[in-house]
Amino acid sequence: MNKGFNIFIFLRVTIGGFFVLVSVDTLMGPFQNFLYVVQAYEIFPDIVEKGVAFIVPWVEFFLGVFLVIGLWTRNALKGLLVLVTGLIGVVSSAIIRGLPLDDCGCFGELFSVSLKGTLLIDIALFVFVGLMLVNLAKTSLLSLDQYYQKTE
Amino acid sequence: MTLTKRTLTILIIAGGVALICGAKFIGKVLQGDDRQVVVQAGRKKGNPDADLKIIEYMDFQCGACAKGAIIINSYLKDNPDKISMEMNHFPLRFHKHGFLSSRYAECASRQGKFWPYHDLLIKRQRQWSKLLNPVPVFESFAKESGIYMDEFKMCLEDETVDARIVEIKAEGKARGVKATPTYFINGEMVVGVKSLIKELFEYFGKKHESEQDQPEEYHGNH
Repeated sequence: MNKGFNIFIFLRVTIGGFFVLVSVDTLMGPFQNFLYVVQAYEIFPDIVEKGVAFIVPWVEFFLGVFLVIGLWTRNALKGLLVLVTGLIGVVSSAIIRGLPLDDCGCFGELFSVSLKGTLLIDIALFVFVGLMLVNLAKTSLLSLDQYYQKTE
Repeated sequence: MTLTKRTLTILIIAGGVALICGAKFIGKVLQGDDRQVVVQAGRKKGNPDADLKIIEYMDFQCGACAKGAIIINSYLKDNPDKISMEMNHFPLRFHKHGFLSSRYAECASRQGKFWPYHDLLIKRQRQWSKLLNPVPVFESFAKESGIYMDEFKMCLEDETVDARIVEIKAEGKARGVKATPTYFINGEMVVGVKSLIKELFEYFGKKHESEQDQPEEYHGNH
């Protein structure tokens, strides 16, 4: 076993923790706040917006939790890859359409990064999640998956 | 006894849902709906006994807030007896002139000129929101609103004005306000212009012409 510093475990816990923190903040606040964010992107039909605003924070939360503890790590990483790809698509589309999201106040004060800044963060997340998926064995060290693998 | 992977997964999901929902419920119960801040009469308009009560939290520099305010103004113009309106400051940190514009508006309210000043800030938002120094524009709005300038300038230096705005914003945060514009329509939280339009449409049963309105373009010298 590699006894030195393992960057992939660090990435797994940090990125998983990031998703948990962001989603808990969304889930604990009023639903309408996140619905406003979804509406601001003007990408989903009215009927879908509420569903997206309800489901996305829960998906982020559980993917984050599973990543931190290392349970179903491969599936959690695949899920995050899909989620982050979706976010990159949505943010890119907003930039291309010139939506005035930087100015609208829809994100409140917690996350006042510009759209281009948001896109860069999403791309970085995509790269890190991809790297963890490619190096799954190293990423799964000190995880529940490893524990179950040993006991099986 | 060792849990199987599947059982542990189910426990984590059930525990996570219970934890979040429980914490949210407890938070709501502890917080209650006690409003501590007494709203100054100057920031209220319409019929205080109206069935439709709108409490708004806004930032004068936010584009969506301007659109929402224009829409509410139009409904109020057509239905002055059916709406009670109350505006509350919620200047966002990253809007450079958000707090300053609130300070000017609050001082205008001390001379009973809040709404004329509010309307100028909103309608001509594009005139000042991108300026490095919007003070000359804010002063010209004050003159246009018929405000006594000496008293106004003294008020602008009064620290209690800033404290008041901070207090109002803190009260909004305690009610769950994060983004602007946020409305409480008969106590129900409504965030953003799209949801506002939907609520007003449901209440009045018709769309308003002003729903396409935008703040005025400005072609002046500022």
